[in-house]
Parts: sequence; structure tokens; C-alpha cells
Amino acid sequence: MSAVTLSLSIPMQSARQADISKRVMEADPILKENEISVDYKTDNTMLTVDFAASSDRILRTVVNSTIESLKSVIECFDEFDE
Amino acid sequence: MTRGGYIALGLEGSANKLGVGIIRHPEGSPVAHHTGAEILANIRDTYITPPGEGFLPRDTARHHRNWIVRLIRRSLEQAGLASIDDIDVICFTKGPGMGAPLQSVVVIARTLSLMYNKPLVGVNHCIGHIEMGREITGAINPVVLYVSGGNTQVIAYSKQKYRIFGETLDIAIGNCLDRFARILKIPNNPSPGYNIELLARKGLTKPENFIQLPYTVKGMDISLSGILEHIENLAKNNDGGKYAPQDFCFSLQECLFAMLVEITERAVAHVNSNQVLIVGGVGCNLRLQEMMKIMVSDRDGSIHATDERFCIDNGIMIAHAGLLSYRMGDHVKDLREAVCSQRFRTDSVWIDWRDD
Repeated sequence: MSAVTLSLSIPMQSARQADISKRVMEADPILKENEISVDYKTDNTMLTVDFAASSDRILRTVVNSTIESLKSVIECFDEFDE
Repeated sequence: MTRGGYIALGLEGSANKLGVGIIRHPEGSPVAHHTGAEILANIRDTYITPPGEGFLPRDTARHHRNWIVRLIRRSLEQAGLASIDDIDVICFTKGPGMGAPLQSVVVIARTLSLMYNKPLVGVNHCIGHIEMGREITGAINPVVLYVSGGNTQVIAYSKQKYRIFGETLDIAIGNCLDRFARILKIPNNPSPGYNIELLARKGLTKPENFIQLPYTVKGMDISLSGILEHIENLAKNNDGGKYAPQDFCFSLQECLFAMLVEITERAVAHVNSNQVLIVGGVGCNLRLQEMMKIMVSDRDGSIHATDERFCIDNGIMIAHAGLLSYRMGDHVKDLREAVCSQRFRTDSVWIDWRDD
């Protein structure tokens, strides 16, 4: 399955933000489990996302949608974190 | 908390409208038919495509992501709330609807819930329309006609469920109108249905220009795709410009709405109710309301409809239905339950806030 892999490391402003992003993102079920795996980890303020997919086309799709959602999460932090 | 009662934030984005609403329920029984709800904010931003084009899921989701945080900020200001901390529960549309737009909204709901440690409630979009319609119009136990871009259902309440008496067998009524509008390049601003309504209001150019369409009622259900195909073909090969746009719009509305009135009347007779509540985006159409009124007044009943603030998709209805459910003790226990589903039937929701 893991023909292609990619790892993203995203520094957050706090360990709490990293933890919230992980929990928000993990809630979504992975639709094609035999073709994609997405794994979230946090280390202090760093959020790491490990992707593995059966083809580069699928990898690109899942990385794109993950980044789009993460952008929303971060915008929420920027606007509403007090 | 400076005010008593409960405050809910509602986030809606199942189609091309992004809605954010804040509602307050005073203390009292949630089982009462009318909660005395107070609307603190109700803001909407619609993704409008050029004439001739429909809205695609990916572009619609991008629109929602662009605007949602700003709309939430504005709704807090409008409601006079200093922070999300003043809200008791965050409600989001769980479904039915388009996947990508729903997803763009649920991510925000989850994030705010974790940031402020607030409970989440997933709301069925159709139930949102019904409960908001009941709250606003004062209808107690109506037969509900739910007509929008994605749904066409005749619904009546029985034993803790809103049961579907009849529905479309293929496309939704609003989808039929929207797709027809694209053929004639009728603008999508503010909505294709509204522009069709305005054209139809001009009436036929001459009486013989009324177009007979294949009226299709099958028992309690209706079918619309044949009508759409028929009128699309006529509009594309409009021989010598025989028909004006208003002829098409008038004939289409008359045929479609007559079908809706017929199946609604059958449900009204069946459940022995004499109230009809019209909800959903197509429900703002005054011609539909007028035709329904003729039927209902023949039966000594009453018709209940709302204006565009509540008929067209909005956040306040999600806040209202979600708050009813929350006050009965329902909310998301595990974040993995806070996911959307494109299909989510009206009759699969247990209505524990009604005691009749």
C-alpha cells in the first residue's frame, strides 16, 4: 500500500493548539483505508502528519484536503484563541 | 452568564449558503411547542455562480472556508456577546447535503468546541427547517412541505418522528428550477428560483403560450426529471422564439406547484390536520404559498410560511433544533461522532422534545 509517503511537520503556537488540531483532524474517518493512511502525532508544539498512499494521485488529494482543513483550524486559533 | 436561559451557536453549510446564527431560549420546558426563542444573530453568505453555471462542491467548500470565521465573529458582535465562552452549545449541520461544504463547517465546529470546552450537537438539516418553521409561525402540528434545492418531502409528525409521507422520486424541486434557470441563463443572484418567480409573475405573453408539461404524481410521490427534460428541450429548440422566458417560467411553476399541492392535500386528508407549514428555499415562493392557501382554505385550514430569513438555509434553524436536542440531554460524546453524512433521512431522527 505505502507506495508513496509524505510527512508534514507544522509548528503551532502552543502544545494545546497542537493537541486540539490533532483531535479535530483525527475525528474524520479515512474513507479508503486500503489506499490511504494518515497518522497524526504531536510533540510539544509540533504537529506531525504522516501520510502513506497507494499512488501519488491519491496522496496529493489527501494531503490537499488535510492542509485545507488545517488552515481552517489555524484561522480559528488566530481569531478566537484568547 | 449575564442572561438566563440557554444560548446556542448554529453553523450551516450543507449547500451554497453559509449561515451562522445565535439563538437564546428562555428557561422553561423544551417540550413546550414554542420555546419563546430569541434570535440574537442570523447571518448568511451565499456562494453565487455566474448565470448558466451551477455550484460545485469543491468551490462551494472553498467559499465556506473563506467566510466562516468572519461570519462567526460578526454574529457574536451582532448578538452582543463578548466571546464564544458566552455560548452554551455549538450546533452544526450533520447532513444531508454536499460532502465537501458540510466538512468545511464541521471542522470549525469541532475546533471551537475543543478550544472553549463546549458541547457539540449534530443537527439534521431538514429537522432544522421544520423546528424553525414551527417556532416562527406558531404552527403546532402541521403537515410540512419541505421544498428546497436538495429536498422535496411531505412530512407529518407521529410518535417521536417526523415521517415522510411523500417525496420526489428523482430530483428535488429546487434542483429542477435551478437547472432550468441555467438553460435560459437566468441569473443566480439572489437565487435562480427567485428570478424565475419574478419572470413568472409577469404572466404569459398570450394565453395560448401556456406550455403543457408532463404532470407526474405517483401516489404520494412526485417525479420531476421528465418535466425538466421536456421543458429543457423546448427551451433549446424554441421554434422561431415562439415562447418568451416568462412563458416557460409561468408554465413550469404552475405545473410543479400544482403537483406539490396535490400531494400535500393528500397528506392533510390522511393525518386529519388542517395546518400546512411550508419550509425550505422554494417555500418563499409567493405563488406556491398562494396555491397552497387556496387548497388549505377549502379545508378550513391555515397555511404557515416564513420569509427568506428562515426559509432559505440559515444558521439559526440549526442553532434552534440543536438547542432543543441539547436541552433533552443529547450531545456529541466522542469527537468521532461529530462527522457529517451526505445522506441523513428526516425520519431517522428521534424527536424527544415533543410530547404529543
